[in-house]
Amino acid sequence: MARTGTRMAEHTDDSYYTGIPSRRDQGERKPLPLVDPDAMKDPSGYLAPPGLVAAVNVALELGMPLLLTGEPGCGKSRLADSLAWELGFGDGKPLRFVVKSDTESRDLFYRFDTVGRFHAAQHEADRPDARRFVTYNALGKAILYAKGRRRIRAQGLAIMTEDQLAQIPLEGQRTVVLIDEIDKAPREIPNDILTEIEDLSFTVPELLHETPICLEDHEQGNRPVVVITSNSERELPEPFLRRCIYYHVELPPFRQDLKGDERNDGEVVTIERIVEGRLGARFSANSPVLTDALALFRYLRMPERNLQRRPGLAELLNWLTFLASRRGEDGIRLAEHRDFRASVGTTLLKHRDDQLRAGDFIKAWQDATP
Amino acid sequence: MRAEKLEVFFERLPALDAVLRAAGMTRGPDSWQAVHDLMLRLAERGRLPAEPVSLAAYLGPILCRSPEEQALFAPLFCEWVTGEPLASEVRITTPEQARAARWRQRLRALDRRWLSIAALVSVSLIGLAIYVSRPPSPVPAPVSEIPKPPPAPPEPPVENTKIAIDTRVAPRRLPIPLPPEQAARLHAIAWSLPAVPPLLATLLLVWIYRRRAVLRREPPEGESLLNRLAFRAPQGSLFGRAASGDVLPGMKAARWLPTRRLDIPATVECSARHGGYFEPRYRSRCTLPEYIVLVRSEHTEDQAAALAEELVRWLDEGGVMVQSFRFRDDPRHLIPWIKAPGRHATLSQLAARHPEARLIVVGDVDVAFHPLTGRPHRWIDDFKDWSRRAWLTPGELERGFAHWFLERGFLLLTLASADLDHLSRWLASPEKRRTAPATNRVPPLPQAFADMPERWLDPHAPYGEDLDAVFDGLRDYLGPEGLRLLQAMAVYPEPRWALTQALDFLLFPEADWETRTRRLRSISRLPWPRHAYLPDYLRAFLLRRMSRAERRDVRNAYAALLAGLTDDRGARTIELPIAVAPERTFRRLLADLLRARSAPGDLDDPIFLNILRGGRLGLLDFELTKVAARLLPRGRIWVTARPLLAAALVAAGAGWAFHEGWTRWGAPELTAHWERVARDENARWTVKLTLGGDASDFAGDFETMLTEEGYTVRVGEDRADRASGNTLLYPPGGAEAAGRLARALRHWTYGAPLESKEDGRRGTGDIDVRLEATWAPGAAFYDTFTGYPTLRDPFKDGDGVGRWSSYRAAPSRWAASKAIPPATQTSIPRRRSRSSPSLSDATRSASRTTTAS
Repeated sequence: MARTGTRMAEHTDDSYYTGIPSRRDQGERKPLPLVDPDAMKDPSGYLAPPGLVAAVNVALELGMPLLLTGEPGCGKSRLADSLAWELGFGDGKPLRFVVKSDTESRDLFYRFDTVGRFHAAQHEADRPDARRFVTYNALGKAILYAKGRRRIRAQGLAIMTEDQLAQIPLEGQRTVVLIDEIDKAPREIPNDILTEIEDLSFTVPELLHETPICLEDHEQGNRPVVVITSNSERELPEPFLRRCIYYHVELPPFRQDLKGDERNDGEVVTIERIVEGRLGARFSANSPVLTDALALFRYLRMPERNLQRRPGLAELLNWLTFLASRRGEDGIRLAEHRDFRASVGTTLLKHRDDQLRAGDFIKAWQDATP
Repeated sequence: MRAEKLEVFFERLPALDAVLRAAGMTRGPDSWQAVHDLMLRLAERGRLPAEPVSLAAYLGPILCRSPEEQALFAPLFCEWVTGEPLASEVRITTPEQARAARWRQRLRALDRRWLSIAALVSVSLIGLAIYVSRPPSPVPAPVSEIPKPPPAPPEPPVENTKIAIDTRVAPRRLPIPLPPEQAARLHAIAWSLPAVPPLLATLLLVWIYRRRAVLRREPPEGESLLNRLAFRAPQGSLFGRAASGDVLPGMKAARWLPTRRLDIPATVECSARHGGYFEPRYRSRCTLPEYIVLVRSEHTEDQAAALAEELVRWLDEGGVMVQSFRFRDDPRHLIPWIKAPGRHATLSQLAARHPEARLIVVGDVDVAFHPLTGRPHRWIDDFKDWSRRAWLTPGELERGFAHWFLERGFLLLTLASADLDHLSRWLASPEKRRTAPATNRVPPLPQAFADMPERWLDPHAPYGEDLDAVFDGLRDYLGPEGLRLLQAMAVYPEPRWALTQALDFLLFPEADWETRTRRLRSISRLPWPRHAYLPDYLRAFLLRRMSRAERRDVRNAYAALLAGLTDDRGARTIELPIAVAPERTFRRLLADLLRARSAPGDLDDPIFLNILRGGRLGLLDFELTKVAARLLPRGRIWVTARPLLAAALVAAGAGWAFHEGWTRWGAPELTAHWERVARDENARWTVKLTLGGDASDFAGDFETMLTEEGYTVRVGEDRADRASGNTLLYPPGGAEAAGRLARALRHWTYGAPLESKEDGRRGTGDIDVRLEATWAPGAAFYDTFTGYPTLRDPFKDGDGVGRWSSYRAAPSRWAASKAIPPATQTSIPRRRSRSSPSLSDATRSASRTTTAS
């Protein structure tokens, strides 16, 4: 795309930012559309391909962690939401733990605020309760959920304050634990994490509680389901892979790429079905914008485009959400949408080289589209 | 799938393991245990899928560990479930199972067409055997040779009855047996003729099997598919043998990294020392070092890059955490190569993901400089994100470059096992201003290749270059052994690293590892291995310069390599693409003739396996021993089965045709020829026939038969003074004719004694014959039963009844001509009966004769 210099933005809707200082005082503004972050995470709209369903069931049968890889935005993490919601584990929500570059295996269970404890010891008159400074993380919570409040009390596990304990369900409950982006951790961490997952046992030495907190035999039925995701940025060690159920989540096919029989099969998961499930209500039936947007997305994902970074499903949904949010655009083609070009460059193409070629891509797509 | 089938499923799991291993997916016992557990649980819950193929979705997540494996698993599993040829059942553990699996695989490999041909041949042979061994067709009883008893007189009263006994026996009318020497000759021919085709076929087979198979270069064809054949790699880890034992431990040594976590005991202690003021102390984390290796590559099959990746593989197998990337000219754009090829990365991404890694760049130093301006590229500063970095060059190490790189944080070393120790120490604790080791063990690349390597990649020799001088330069650079390795590489159209390495090990098995590494490094720097292309002119030139002994060594090396053909595919095997020559049907031959041949020197230059049609050996063709060729695709069929089947078919057919031809035409014609010759000889003799006794009644018969044998017959008067018995007097010099006549007379008179003697009084051309007896006591008159040896069947012993009866039974011209005229027959008392005479009849006849006498 030839660079033609900077131009003023062309937005005329008063509710949006225009970048024009003179418009600062032009009367009352319309409210901005509300953004519901949970709407896109609604597990009821998640469609899992058959292979992924089989992999989940294998993990459930064998009680092994499920490792999901795939390009960013393909729905790896959303699977945990869907799994917890459908099976009703943990009140329908997974316990999430996001791995960081300095994560240690103990972080899976709890985090202790050493500085806070130190500060409290210096400034509070009474000896502070050390349990206040313990924050239980996903796997620690999963063990405690599996036990239930009643059994924690019965076992005399004085590791939580009453406030913390009140958040634990009365009876033991099974949960879904999502360990997200494990490839961010140093190489040796995955193996450590897996050992902790298999043992499901931890101690909190900061509380001077040396008795391991673990699942008893009769509590094994509440063993948490562990879902681990990776963006494959870093190679995972072989022993870790060996102890996981593995599934690589591919982006679902487009309907027009299916064979004849499959195209008419309503059960086959396609991009179109996912979009309809997520955003169907926001677009009118046979919306030209939606059709064109899907066609452009498919065009951009073709290997021939040689994009530095191919847009994912999450980016498509974000883009479509944006397009749908613009009022007064019903019945027009995508090319006529006033935010079309700008939105492609900001939501779908996120590499500088790709953004520079965005105009060429759009022109080529328009030429190729009848 | 029913639960009862689980046992079968579990029994076949080793075969699935073999299939996956062949595809490079080696799984441990825990994975298979998980498969067992899952299947049992599914069966317990009644959730086994209806179709076994659907199990792929359940087993894939247990047995796959990467997207590539996941994509590969489903077809492999389907192949295993549907019972299609399993790739490598031969690797079942016990030798007996392995042998059985090999045989099963061979049987499966047999083409249906050949099976049908084999069945056809078998049926033909069985039919032939049945035809040979069938019982003889009933021969109509010769009517004339059976002596007829006298007409039965009316039954007289028992007492005082005189029985008239007729003892006259008509002469035998069967053809006269051939003389023993002629019969032996016929016998020999009858035996030897059917043996000729098998003998010729055997000789043809020997010739075929002694011929060497030819790996022939043929022009590429669009429809030809390359077979990727896997061979057991003869070599081990290149750097593993050569490097010092301290290298791996040094590179794996753990190190401490600072973290943002508080070291609580240290913090408490430190805070206490500072009067209670908070003094945080942070922990360090012990971690294993991680290595990033960036390899410069001119081509996907660049052998210089492949040599560097040998180092990467060795480190990886040694437990070092290493990731390898390739770049062309700009290391800012990288492609993961060994483990997860395809997804490219940038240098900045790599720096963000692996900030603590140790960096090794492998490539010629000139890549850091602009080829025209000579200025260093700016990207050299982008490596500053890594504090520990080194540069390995496959070329010569110049001190100026070493200092230049050292100023930019790189320790410059050669890609040699001896320098790995320096590399390990440097990356563990880089010391500023440390000078590079003064090692320059790599000879400089010949100027002709260093200046403009692209010139040598054209299909034609560079203009103005003296190839002989280039050859000498190559010898100086590579040494004699390196040059031979290059010549061996020229046999295969496309340089491949795995093949280069294997040939080096096969040609020089005794070489030390340092020398081997040096030789491979030198050869990999040449433009052709770097670009994976050897122009044909160069291949031809290199092959022409091989002596006979060198050619033999190279051929043996290839034969040894091809003998290691295996179904396994993995780290310990090498794969070569070889195309099987398409079948030359008539239509294809015609199409080849009509179609313009592709221009020689096309890049797509597969080797076609062209066994059994070798013809003249081209320079770029390569001979293989037959043993090696048998291991190649279609080798078993083309080399052994097809010639064998064809030869057996042709031999059986030709043998049968020869035998039938001889039986139906050859032998009768030869016999008739001999008879004509004998008759011509007989025509020169006059037989004076005198008949007496019983023979006097058959004067006409004997005269006719002698006349038909070509003799001139004069019937004389019987004189009482003549000696009794059958006599034959012949003149001097007539022994041969007399012998022939005596054999005929003995035949006609059922072996009655005949005295044959020379009589000097006989005139020349006269033979005097006197006959009194037409039969001999004890003679067998029933020739049909006694198997009178008219001509014995060579395939039957004893009874003389066999296939030769086919022309004996059919009255030949010769036999028919001997039929006695009806008029004569009426005068001969005989018993005409088509039914076989019974023993009681003979006994009765004998008893009557006894009574009369």
